[in-house]
Amino acid sequence: MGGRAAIRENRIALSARNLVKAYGSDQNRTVALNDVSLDIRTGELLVILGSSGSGKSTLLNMLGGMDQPDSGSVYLGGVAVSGMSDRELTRYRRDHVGFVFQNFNLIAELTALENISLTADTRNDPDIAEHMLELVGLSEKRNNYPAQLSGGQQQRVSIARALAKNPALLLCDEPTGALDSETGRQILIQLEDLVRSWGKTVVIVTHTKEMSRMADRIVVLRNGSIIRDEMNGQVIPAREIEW
Amino acid sequence: MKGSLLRGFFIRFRKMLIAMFLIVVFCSGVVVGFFNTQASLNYTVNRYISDFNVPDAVISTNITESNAEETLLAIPGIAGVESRLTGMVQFYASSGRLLTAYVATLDQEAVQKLYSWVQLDTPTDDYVLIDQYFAQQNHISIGDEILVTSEEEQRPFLVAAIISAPETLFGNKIDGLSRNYSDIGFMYAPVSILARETEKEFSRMMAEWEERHQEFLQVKQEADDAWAQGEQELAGAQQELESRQAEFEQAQQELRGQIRTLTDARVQLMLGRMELDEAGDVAAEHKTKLEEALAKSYGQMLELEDRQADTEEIRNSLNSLLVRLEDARGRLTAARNRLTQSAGTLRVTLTALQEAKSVWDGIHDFSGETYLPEIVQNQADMTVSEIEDKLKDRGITPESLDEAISEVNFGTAQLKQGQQRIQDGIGQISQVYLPEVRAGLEEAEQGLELIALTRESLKTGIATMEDALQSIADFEAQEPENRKILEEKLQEVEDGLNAIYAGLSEGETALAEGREQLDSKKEEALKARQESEAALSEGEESLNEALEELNAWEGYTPLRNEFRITFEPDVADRQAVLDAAAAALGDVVTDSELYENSQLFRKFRDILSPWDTMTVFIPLVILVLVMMVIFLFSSMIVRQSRREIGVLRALGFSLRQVRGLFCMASFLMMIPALAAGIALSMPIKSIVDNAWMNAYHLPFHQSFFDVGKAVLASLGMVVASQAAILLSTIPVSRIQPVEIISRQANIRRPVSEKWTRILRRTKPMLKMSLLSLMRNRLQFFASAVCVTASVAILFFSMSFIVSKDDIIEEMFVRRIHYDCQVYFSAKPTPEQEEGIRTQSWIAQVDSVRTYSAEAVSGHDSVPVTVMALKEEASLLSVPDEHGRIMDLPHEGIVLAIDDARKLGVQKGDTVTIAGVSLTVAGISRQSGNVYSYCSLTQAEALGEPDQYMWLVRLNGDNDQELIGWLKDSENYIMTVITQILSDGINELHAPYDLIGWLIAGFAVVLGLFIIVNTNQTNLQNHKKELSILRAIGFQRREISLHWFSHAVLYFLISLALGLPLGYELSVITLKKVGAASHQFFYVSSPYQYVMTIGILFLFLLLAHLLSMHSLKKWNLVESVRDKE
Repeated sequence: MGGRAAIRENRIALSARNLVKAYGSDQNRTVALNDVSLDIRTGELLVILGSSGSGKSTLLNMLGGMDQPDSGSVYLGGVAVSGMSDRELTRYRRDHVGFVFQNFNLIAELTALENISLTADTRNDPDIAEHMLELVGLSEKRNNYPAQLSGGQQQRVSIARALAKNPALLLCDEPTGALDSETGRQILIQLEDLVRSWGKTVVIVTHTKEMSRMADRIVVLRNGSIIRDEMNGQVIPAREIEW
Repeated sequence: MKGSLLRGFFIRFRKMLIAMFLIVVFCSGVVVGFFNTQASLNYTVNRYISDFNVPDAVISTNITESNAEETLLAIPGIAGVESRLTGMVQFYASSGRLLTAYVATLDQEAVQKLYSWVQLDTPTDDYVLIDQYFAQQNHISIGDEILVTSEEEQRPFLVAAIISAPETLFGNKIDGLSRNYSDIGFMYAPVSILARETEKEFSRMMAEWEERHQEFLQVKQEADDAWAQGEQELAGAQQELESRQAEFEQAQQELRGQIRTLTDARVQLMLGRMELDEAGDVAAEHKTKLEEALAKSYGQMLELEDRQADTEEIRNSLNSLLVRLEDARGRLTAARNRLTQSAGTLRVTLTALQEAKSVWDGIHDFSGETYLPEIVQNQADMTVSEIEDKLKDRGITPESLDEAISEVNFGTAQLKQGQQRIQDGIGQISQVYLPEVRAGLEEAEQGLELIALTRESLKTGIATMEDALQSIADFEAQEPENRKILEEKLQEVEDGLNAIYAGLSEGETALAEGREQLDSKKEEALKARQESEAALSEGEESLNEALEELNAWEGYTPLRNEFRITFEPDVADRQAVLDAAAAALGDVVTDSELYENSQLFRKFRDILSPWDTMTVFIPLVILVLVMMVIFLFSSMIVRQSRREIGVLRALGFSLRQVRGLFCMASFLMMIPALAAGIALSMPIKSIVDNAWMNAYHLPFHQSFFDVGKAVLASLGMVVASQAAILLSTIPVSRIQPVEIISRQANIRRPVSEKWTRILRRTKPMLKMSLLSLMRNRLQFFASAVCVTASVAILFFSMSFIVSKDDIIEEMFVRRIHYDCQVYFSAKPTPEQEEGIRTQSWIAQVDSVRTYSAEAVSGHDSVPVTVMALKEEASLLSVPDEHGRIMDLPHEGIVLAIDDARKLGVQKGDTVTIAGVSLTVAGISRQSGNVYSYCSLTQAEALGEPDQYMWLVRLNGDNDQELIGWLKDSENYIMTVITQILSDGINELHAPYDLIGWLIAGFAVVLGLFIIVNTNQTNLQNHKKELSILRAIGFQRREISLHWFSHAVLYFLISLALGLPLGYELSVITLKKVGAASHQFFYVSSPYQYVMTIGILFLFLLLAHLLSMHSLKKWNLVESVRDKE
């Protein structure tokens, strides 16, 4: 796996250029993203910080192909995601993106194992779902339904589901937002362990600073714009960032 | 606050509310339309029957006297009679075709009434109103001129109107006509159209008048003769009376002398009776006294006898005592003598003993008689010791001897005493007792003598008294007879007097009666004369009036030959009343008929019956459906409003307020929806009305809007909707505010263990669908019910459209179908039989025979008309007891139910017709002029038929060719076109077609709506999970497949439930409908199922496509974040 070596190699996994996204009509128009540009390196664990309404989730959705910008583009490996058709976007999400949602978003009628199996990449490992469940320490809960799992357990299943497809990109939208602090902390530890060991490119959106300690890079958004980009403790002014 | 809440509610759920609005509009339109069609139909039918004066029965006659109405009104059970002139005319239509019409003439008032049914200009005087069907068949239009032909002339008449005449709708025949004729029809016209006939009638009436006039004059003459004779007889009677009076007075005089004599005799006898009474009283008094004395004497006599008896007894006792005393004296004397003897004996004994003793004292030689035993006596040979031994042996010792001597001495002393006593006794008897007894005897004798004397005296007295009593008894014995004789004599005298008086009285009475009778006869004669004169006067007046009428006869208005009868409502046997009415009119009656016997009449009345059923049934179904749909939508709205409801509850809104909000919103939506629905109902009603009117050939409908029913339907809708809303808000009470407004992840309630176990090995996507169904059971159930209802109604509607066609197909295609009936007056010739079958325009010809005969069973008989058909014929319009069309039996006969009842026979029994025994193979419920049916083979035994007929099927519209071919045949009567029967039935059932399409349309719209919305709702409910799948990389195609399987599940369940339900609905409704027509029975067609399933599958596909289209529009981000 790439891990920090990839970062050191400075390969760009995903980049966003001049993303603009606004909601509402003329009088009630809200600009969620205001000309945001961002490069994400392979193997990088990026934390996007910002208060509520800063546009961080919107940015994440753009990166994940869940939403389309009003203008600007997202590139994955040089290929523009923004102009893709619905089918291509869906394939993009299926093949390249693993999503971890704040509210877990497990399918209630499926067991933990079945949830993971939904989009698992079984080409290299037919039992990947089992393995992922084992990785997150929930083997004994394989036949439990989400209603029978705690919040932390559900989030771990969600993480396992996201990683089971072996995505290039793991996007986490406030993964601990629905958890208590202790559980959230444990989730973060586990998440970090997994992604570091796998060398995944991870983008985590949060509004809490506690998550930033595990990040390789921290981007701070305010009012739809990047106000701070900090890597390895050094702040990279936005205007100095070379694209 | 509430206003803004409601506004928000309307904005947010506008689509669903619009959908509900449209459903309510449509459903209320249909319901109100149904109700009003029923009201309109009722009104129209009743108005038609009233305006067109549809009677209960009709009597056709060949008379013209108007007083036949009075005769009919006098029949019990008849409430009203109207009469008119009818007849037949021939005319040329404007097309040149020669047609025949049965004409019913109407006055202006009746015409105006009929004109209210059609919009026409005021007609001329020479107009006709032609029956709709007749006009249609012969292409006659309003404004055409027809030429009415009579013997030498043609008169033009204008076709002023085309109407639907009840005579053709209801009457089974009009002088042998039916609706099945094409070239013979019916019309209304003024009387003048029948001028030729009426002129003939006028002549006849004049002749009748003359005849009546002559009869009148004859009667008058007879009356005068009779009066003259009567007067003579009265004079004679007067004379006789007077002579009898004179005789009576003479007899009265003679009888007065007899009266005097008899009166004297009576007085004497009465005096004699008085004396007799007095003597009787005296004798009675004496008798009493004598009886008392006699009783006393008898008493004395008895006493004397007793005394005599006592005295005699004393005497006898004394005599007896005397005898005993003497006897006693004698015995005493004898005893004394015996004692004396005994004493002597004792002395001897003593001597012996002393001798014996002396023996011991020494031995003595003694002889003689001693007491010693013989041993002693034989002492000569014995020694003294021997003698002593022997004496000792005998117990004779000196001691014993001493003892014996002492005893003898004692005995002797006693004896002496005894002797003394006896002597004393004898002395007493002789000196005392005997004298006393004798004295007593003497007294007794004296007493007896005295008693005897006294008795004699008494006897004499008694005898005297008895004689006296006897005399009195004789007198008393004699008295009744004397009295009787006296009374008899008195009675004779009385009788004699009475007889005389009676005779005199009778005579007076007879005379008085004679006078009275004579007076009475005079009065009667006078009265009769007056009446006769009055009757004659009336008759003359009537004749004069009739003559006046005849002379003033321009419009021929008095002519009447058809009498239209209305029965009293409570008449049980209308046929009997009709028969009585026909009998009352007599031989002039040519036909009588109950209209109600007409099948068409019944159908006309009965169109309301199935309609009534459907008007209750279908709106009810619709109401339930509306309720379900509103419940469904409302449930969705409640579900989607959970958060808002939670917030309201958290803010302090009560459950009632929350529910009230929903109810208010529903109510606000319902009101304009109902108004729009009522507006929509008008064209629906109009369409259905027209269909009914066309089917039953009513001229046009009288539009009638039943406000009450519209309000009722609307209220029903409102109530149903409010109920549905309230039901759907039940879960509101379970909504806890804190759960809803919390930002905690909403975790769905866990799936039951049972189902998770069952579906353990199911593929995840299918499992997802099934478990989500289980989770939302209520919604699934509601959705399934709605879809099921759609399926059922659609299937049900197919029944109307599909089955009806199958029935007609069954009736007219599978069975033998004839276009014409050809009537012959005589058996068709072999040339006719062969020739017709060679015609190119003939498809089939079958022979029919009809026979008039008497059907007999036991002692009952009834006239029947038997129609004989070929073996495999079907009996069209002949229903059996189950309402099914019958097949002709191979053997036996099918009887009409009325005939069967009269004969008291049932299926399987035997009846004799024209001497032939036939089994009753079936009983038909055909009414009206009914036939019995049998095969031609069976009918051969019935003899010569009354009528011959052909049933003809043509290759095309060739009825005119047929008529042309037969026209000149001598035995040909007429042709009846029957193909219109199937057309008629088609028309009859056109409304059902329409209803079927309406319901089908309703079912299609509703079904589509329900299925689409159910699908959309389910989609919304699964929005989050589907979005999750999209988010994690599932393509739309994959989700579409998954979602389609979900929908197919609903579809299959709804089909499984809805098809049987729809089937049952169809059977129930069509049975009800079919009951009215007697020809409907339910036929289930595979096409019905195919149509239903096919239509529903199309809906499903459409719904799915719409769902997937919606899916495309989802904002993935929002959907994923959506709280459940």
